[in-house]
Amino acid sequence: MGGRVMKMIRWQGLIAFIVVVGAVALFWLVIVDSAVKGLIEKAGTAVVGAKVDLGNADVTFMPLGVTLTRLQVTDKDEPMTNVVEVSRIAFSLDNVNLFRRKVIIDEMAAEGIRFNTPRATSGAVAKAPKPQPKEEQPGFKLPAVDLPDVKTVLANEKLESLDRIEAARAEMTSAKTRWDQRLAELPDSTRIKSYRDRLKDLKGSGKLSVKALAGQAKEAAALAKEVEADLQQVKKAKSDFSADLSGLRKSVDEAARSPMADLRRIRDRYGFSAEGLSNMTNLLFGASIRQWVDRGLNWYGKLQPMLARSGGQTGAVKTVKPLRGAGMNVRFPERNPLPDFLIRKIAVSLQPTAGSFTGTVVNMTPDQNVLGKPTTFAFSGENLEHARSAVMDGEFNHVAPAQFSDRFGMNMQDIKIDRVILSRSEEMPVTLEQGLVNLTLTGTSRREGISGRFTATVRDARIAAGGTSTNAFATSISSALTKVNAFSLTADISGTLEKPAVRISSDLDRVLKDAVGGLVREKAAKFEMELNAAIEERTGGALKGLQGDVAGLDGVGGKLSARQDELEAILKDAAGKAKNPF
Amino acid sequence: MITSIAKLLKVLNSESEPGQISLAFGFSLVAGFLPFFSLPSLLVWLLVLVLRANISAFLLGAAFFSLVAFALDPLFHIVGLSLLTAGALEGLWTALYNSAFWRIQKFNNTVVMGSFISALVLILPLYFLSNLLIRRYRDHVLAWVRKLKIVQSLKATSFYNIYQKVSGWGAAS
Repeated sequence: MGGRVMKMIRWQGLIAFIVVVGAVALFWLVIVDSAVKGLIEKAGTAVVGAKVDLGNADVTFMPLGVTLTRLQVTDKDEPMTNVVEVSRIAFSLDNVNLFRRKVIIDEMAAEGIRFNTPRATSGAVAKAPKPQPKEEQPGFKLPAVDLPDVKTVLANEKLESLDRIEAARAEMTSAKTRWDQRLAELPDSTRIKSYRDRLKDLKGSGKLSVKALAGQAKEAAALAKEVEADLQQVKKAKSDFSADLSGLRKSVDEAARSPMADLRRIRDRYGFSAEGLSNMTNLLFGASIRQWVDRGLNWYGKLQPMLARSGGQTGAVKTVKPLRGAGMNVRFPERNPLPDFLIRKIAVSLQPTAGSFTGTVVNMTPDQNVLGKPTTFAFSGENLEHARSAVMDGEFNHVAPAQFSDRFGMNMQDIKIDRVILSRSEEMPVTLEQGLVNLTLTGTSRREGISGRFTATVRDARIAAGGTSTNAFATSISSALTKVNAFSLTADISGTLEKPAVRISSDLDRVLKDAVGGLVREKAAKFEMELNAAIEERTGGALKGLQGDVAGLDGVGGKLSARQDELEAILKDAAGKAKNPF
Repeated sequence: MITSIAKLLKVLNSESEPGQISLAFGFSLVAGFLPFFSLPSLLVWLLVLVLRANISAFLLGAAFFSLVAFALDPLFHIVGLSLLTAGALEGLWTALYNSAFWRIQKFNNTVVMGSFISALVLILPLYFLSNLLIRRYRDHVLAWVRKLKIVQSLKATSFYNIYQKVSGWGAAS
């Protein structure tokens, strides 16, 4: 039996199999370092879109771990610069989970991280990108300072006051005609005289007979009735005139005010005010801050694939098409779900030329919904070359991808400023020659949008401003800025990642406004005075005529009052005679 | 193509046992259907080398079945997908999915599962069928060819003797 079994076995074949497998394993052990190096460079280049170089990769099997040295990641936009360079990265891998096709790293150390380091060779992988023209900062544009010519202004502008005055005058003329007509219709002095005569007759008749006295009483009553009727007519006319005159006075008053309205309108259109300089900080710092915001958001956008992956694992069975397209992988629920890629902790050490800047990143994975924990980070540094201290922390919470919430905070104290150009305008160049800055930045990003606040407080500042311009504004502003030794600036960020909006404010606005405010007020006052005189010249005559018309119409009222008084006196006498003929 | 046919004929006409050749064909089905760097495939290679299966037949068969697998991949995908998504088997697949060993085999890939199952199903029928066909070939076709006068004449020539020595025709693998 044993012999039969031995006969069935081809020993040479078994030996050949063992030798071949052993040789392959040995070969793999020899080339694995190069293979890992090539894999990282290839995969990294594909992800970044620019060359990723690795100095060396060292793979160990007991325990399973990898050490990478001199990793350089090219800046896609500047192929001769590395966006980041890391001296050494070391980590160990979880063997068991690796067989389950999960890369789980418990702890990774990244040392000697530097940014924007020069490269010896270009890191471009495709056609070199067209060099983006550096966005020109709009610079500082001074407002116009020349006073416009008043004559030219009035030649181009229609004076509405003239029309209004003419309209009022026409109204007055029409009213005068109307009231002259009405006065003619009312009981006049002749009629009133006739009433007086009749009354006189009644008083002077001297008849004492009862019949005569009764006749006198009757006549007096009739006279009283007539006078009463006329009196009512005059009273009505007086009431109507009073109402009419009130309306006319209102029109006249409006016409009298209209030249002032013209003055204000034209002054505001052609003149200038200090209010226009209320946002000078935006002109000075706006472009720089917007660039920094765009750069920060660009970096945040690049981090997104590392923070969240669409179609993460769930408890249900699902099919996922692998990259090569050979069949489909069916995923089943895992008893202890773990992300496909997870680094539980990264210890980071940046390499400033002085001081230290270290930090940790915890739970870095694109499958936070599987892990159930967000990615957090915290960095701090002391006694840095250009700052006294720096603290940075934040959280990327994509545990529920539909309601993600990312938070970032930074605080840097005593950053030494050395020649920062704020405005490149030829008319008004501004440079912050030196200063100490405290910076605070907080930001959040959610599905609804982004929000953030950037605050900078500068002290011990020395600002150089002003070029060769002899513009009065330029001189005032330059003088004011050079006297500034402390200021603060706030930028509020809102909107979306694609369209961020930045609103900037600073206490420099008050300084600049005060500096140029006096100059602006003086020029504005001069312009207003000249304009006022010109408008008065054009409208004064018409306005005087209008006031004369008003005075003329007042006479009608006097006449009506006189007639009313006379009729009332006659009525009183007539009524008295009618009651008591004796 | 002609070379392959010549090699096949060489194997069939050799003095190897039909069982050895059939076993080789059976193993070649598995090796051809499954991805090269998979555990079942490596196991098959080990068995072919260790057991006395006809290596030439195995290599020929593996090449042939690899070509067939290209054409049958869509069918393997359908078979694999229906098996992997069968509700009754979900418990089994879930247990295997949570095992590191089985995850390495990529059993949850539809083409891998479909081709593996197809190979398992076909290996025995192929073994017996090829065994039968080889015996029939040797008993009837080869015997008839050997009886032909022209073949007998050729075999009698010295040219044939030299050719036999050089090519190793008729030597057992």
